[in-house]
Amino acid sequence: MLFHQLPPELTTKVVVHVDAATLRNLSLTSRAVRAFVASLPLSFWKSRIKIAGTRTSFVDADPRSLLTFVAVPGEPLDKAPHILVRDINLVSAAQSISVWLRCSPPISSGGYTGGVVIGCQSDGIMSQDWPHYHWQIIMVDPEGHLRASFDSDGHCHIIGPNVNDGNWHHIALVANNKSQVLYVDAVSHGVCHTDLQLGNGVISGDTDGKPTNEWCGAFPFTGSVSHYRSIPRALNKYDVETIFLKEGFYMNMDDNELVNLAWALHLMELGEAGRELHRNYYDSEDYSEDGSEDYSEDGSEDNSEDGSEDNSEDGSGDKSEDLLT
Amino acid sequence: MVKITSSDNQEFTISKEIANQSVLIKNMLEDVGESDDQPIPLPNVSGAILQKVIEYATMHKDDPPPAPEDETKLKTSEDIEERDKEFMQLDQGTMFEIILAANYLDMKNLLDLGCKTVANMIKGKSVEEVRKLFNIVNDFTPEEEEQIRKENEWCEDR
Repeated sequence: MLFHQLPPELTTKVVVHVDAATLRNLSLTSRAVRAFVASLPLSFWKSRIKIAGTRTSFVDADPRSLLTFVAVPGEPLDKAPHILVRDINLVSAAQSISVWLRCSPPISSGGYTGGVVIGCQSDGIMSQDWPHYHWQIIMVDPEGHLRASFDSDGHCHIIGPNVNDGNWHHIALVANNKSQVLYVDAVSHGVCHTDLQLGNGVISGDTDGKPTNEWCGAFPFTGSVSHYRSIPRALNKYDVETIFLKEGFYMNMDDNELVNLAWALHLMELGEAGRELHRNYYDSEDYSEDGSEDYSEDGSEDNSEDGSEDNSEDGSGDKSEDLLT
Repeated sequence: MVKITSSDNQEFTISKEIANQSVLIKNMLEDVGESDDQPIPLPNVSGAILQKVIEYATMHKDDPPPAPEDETKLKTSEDIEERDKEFMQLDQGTMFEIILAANYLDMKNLLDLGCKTVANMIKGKSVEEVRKLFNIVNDFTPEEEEQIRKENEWCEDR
């Protein structure tokens, strides 16, 4: 009897305890094991982001967002395609983004540190037209400070700590209908409160598909978008089937299963800070599934970098207890 | 007392509290009733493995019943008691047989222990080390290996 000859249901019980890198190594041992591991629901799909000027690297992120970075030297940033965000509800529901990033020195003299990590705009960067809208969800400013907001009009913009230190940082932006919180390496770095208008999308002029011929204004999508990805090559039929099958598994998982999988595979690597966050998340008496949970680490204090500063640009977000409203 | 027999017809007499650690045996006892002193056949477990399972059950007879699985809790393989670590210092064949037996007998704690022990054996091992550990023969062709290497090139540098 060998390990991979155990019944699949038992082998699955084993591999939930190993990290992603070990699982990958296991899959590379033989054809049979590779086929077995590939058949496991735990064989998560990796997406990638390419960041200009950085060496090849990657970090596994929380599978709730299925984000993984790959930095490829010399690739222009406009070809940095792969942002994968699970269940961004573009209207009003609670949502989160989890992402890892690492700043690199400017590519050339005269270049700047940082840039838009996750953004949204009406025209591509190579377009001759100025975008009708442009929305920076997570960005690093030229000083190296994180700025984050789901709010498309910038009224609820959180300024985080300086992350221009050459290290990888985990960024989580968490929002409910009223407030949002920025976590950097699992530590809260500011909240702000507003009636968030999540999503953007102005449609006007002679564009096809307007709600009415005269329509000029916002036409945000009503519904959810999940697993967005952009891939810089033509997919073949097999690719499409693979994505459908792999991602279909996650689409059918409930939040508890996803969180469990996330913690089993990845967040253990975050160390004690991640574990503490996990404990707080589930042990909090305030936790509820209606999007009204307390997002702050201690439920009462501003966890901004200096412990006292209002990190929101509009000055409204210095007390996280207000978040529960 | 309860009598059980293994696949190779070895008979064991155990206390009811030890027997009840197996949900399978517990259910069978409830089905056949208290008065029946016929041995309970366990055709999927050999005598040697059943002996080890009884040893584990005896060691844990005073433990509280296992809590229902909480899917939201972090799964970790690092919370193994010292006495259980010692118990699982077995050859691989026996370890896998115990996992199979625990699954058949529906003994959640023993099954968890077995799976965590195996997971701990794999953790942090390279491809070659895992092959050696589990005696897995590399049957990839050189072309396949090259293809796999290319596919994984992007994630080599962690």
